[in-house]
Amino acid sequence: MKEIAVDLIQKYNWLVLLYFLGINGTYILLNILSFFAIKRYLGERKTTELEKVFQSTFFKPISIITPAYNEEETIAESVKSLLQLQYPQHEVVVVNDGSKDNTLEVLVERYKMVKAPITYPAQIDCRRIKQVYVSPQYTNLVLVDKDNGGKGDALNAGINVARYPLVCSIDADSLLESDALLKVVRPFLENPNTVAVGGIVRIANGCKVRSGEVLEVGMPKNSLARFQTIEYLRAFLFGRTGWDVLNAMLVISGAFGLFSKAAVVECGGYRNDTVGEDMELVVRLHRIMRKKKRKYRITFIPDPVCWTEVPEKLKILSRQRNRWQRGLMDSMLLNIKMLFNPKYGTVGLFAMPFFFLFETLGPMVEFTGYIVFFASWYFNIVSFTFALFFLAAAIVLGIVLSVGSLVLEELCFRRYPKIFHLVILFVYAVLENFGYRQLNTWWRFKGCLDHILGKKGWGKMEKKGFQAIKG
Amino acid sequence: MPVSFLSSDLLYILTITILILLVLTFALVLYVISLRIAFNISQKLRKRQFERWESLTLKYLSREVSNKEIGKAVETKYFGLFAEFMEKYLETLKGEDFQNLTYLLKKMGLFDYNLKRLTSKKKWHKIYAAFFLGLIRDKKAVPGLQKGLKDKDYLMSFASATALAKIGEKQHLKETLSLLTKREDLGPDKAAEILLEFGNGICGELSLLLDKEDIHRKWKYLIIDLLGYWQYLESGPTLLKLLNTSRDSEMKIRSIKSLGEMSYIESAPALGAHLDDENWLIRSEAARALGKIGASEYSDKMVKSLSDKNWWVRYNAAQALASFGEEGITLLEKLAKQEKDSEARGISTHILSEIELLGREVR
Repeated sequence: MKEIAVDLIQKYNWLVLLYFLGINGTYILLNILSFFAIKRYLGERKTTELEKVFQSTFFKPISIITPAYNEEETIAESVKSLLQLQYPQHEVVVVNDGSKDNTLEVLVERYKMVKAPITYPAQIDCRRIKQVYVSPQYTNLVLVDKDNGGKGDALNAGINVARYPLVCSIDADSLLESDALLKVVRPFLENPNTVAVGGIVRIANGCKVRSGEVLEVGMPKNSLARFQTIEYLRAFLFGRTGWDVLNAMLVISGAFGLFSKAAVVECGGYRNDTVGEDMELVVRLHRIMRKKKRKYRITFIPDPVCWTEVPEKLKILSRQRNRWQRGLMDSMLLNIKMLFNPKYGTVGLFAMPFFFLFETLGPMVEFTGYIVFFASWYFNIVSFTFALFFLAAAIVLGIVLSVGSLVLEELCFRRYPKIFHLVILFVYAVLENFGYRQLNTWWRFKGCLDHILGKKGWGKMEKKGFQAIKG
Repeated sequence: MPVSFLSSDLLYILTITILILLVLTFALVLYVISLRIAFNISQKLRKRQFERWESLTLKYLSREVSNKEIGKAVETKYFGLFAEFMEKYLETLKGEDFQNLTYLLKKMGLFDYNLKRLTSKKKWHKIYAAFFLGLIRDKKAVPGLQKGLKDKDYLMSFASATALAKIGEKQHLKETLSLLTKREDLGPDKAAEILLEFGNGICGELSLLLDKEDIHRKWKYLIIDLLGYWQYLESGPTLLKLLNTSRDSEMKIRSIKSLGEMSYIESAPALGAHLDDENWLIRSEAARALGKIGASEYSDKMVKSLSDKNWWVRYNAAQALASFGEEGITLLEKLAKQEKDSEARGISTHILSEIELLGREVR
């Protein structure tokens, strides 16, 4: 019996080693690819005259869709900042998804909105739209009041009402930089086959905000938010940029993404039975476009910025990570046909397997890895020194990757103005390996279990609100 | 014997790996810090230089200093930075000031410097050179830019095409267009940026392309938009023909928009007829175009459109009525109070409140 256990543990250890090499090898590759991609992008931007874009009437108009559920505190300011964005022609479609608070009333009052029986083609299924409001004062503002149906359903309703060929999804509690639309639209102009573009999401905790605009970039005071700053930099700067180079980007954040309305409608819009509707839509776009042998491009641009507030409490963060993990599993399982399928090119042969093996199953491998580690030690399969050294190697490699994303940030964007900010980020890149990373694995592991047990829903989220500057 | 996790070889490999990674981490941290320090220093230098050059340039433009004095103040090693500094001046200045500035750049050698860089092996050097030569707008750069136009790299090709357009080399329009239409990585929207740089002098040639069958419809859409944008009235009959004969609804919509933009009065009857089209987008654009043209003789038809089943048709028709002036607004006021049809009444009230709140001219 003991022999079988020892044999199994030994095999599992090799599996963990392979897993370790696979995931980190891919991350290193993505880091290198991102470096060249970002360099090229910045060179291109140097010879682009953004002001001319703003003046031109030849740019595709954009409908910004912002689903709102119980956002009475912040919605009026968010809408104000969206209306002020620099872009030749855009409309803001706020979808009140059956809020229980006064979200609807706040908007109607503030923007003097009136009922308008706007006719719209019901291109995608969604819950009943009760009323559409327009503002005679702000003619590019539309408010859709509908029965509660979840974020995906609200986005679908917004897409139905949207007038323009490009739709931009943005969370009601996020802020776009004033030139974000001008930047994010460029792939649609440069490559007519573009169907979706994602921008970078940065953390607004610690930044000073006035009238829906980030005036001063700062470092969050809260440690959890600082850990997430490192995570976001890693995820966006080398994660998404790298996958984009391979034309296999599977995630466009729900907080900020621009889509071709026709493509989204063709794919049937957002699914409403998943908490990862943003990722699922992108994976499905890949699947349908490739299945139809259509030329298409789903891409990521690293400098149109969307600022978002991240959780500063463990409980809230654990819910968010649990939800992300369930969403990821949904996206994988709902599109499982693509896995290792050469018909889907790099997406089927590289991105999907990576996301399935390392991101979806990763928490399970990591979690059980910790248990097996102790068992290995107990059965004398692994020496204590080896285990300690392996752990040290994993940690240092993690730090190298985090520092790699800081190199990209420093080479290209320098959004954190002080050297002190960089020092803090280095310190947290080291500290995250002692506790935070393990907690994250636990939350994601729990997310896997909850998914298997059929748990649905978002869980309650709390937001602290942006740090406002008076005056 | 299989490799064991207790093997000292494996431990040795791990130790070496950790050491390498630690050194790498340390090196990367130092690199980032040094990058920031270097950036801060270069920003200070840049600011100082810009302030100095700004005062010199203004003095040069008001003829207080000569080009030689500026030439002395800008060392060759700062040519790249000086070109960057000059961008905003070259983009905004016109007439004599622009001429004086380009004269200065030529005398300083900055023009030749960039001309030489067009053939550089470094990709970004030649792309920037093409961009900068476009800002200087001197015909001497044309041969080099023509070569750049055929470059395999899309960015170089695009930068050269834009520069040629800025220089106003209309004889290269055909070549540019044929190159643009062949590139799969370039859409009409991006091409619009180049064509706009040529200016409205290319309308005649563009208009002729609308009759050609071998031009893809996506390019025809762009041409129609440009003709409308430049209000090229001579293309009115061609657009009107497209509106009446095309089966492509997108082509019709674009033609309607452009006819409205150029206020082509002769198109009013055709636009009026399209108020009854089965496609609501065509109906709503026809209403808007009639408003732009100011075809108040279609007021009755427009009133009928206020009861259209589509909100946007009603909205554009009401806006068009308002744009007819006092007469239209009085009509809307009457409809808002007395009209039996609730849709027509509602939209009239809505537009009147828009006018009141915005205090703007609708047209």
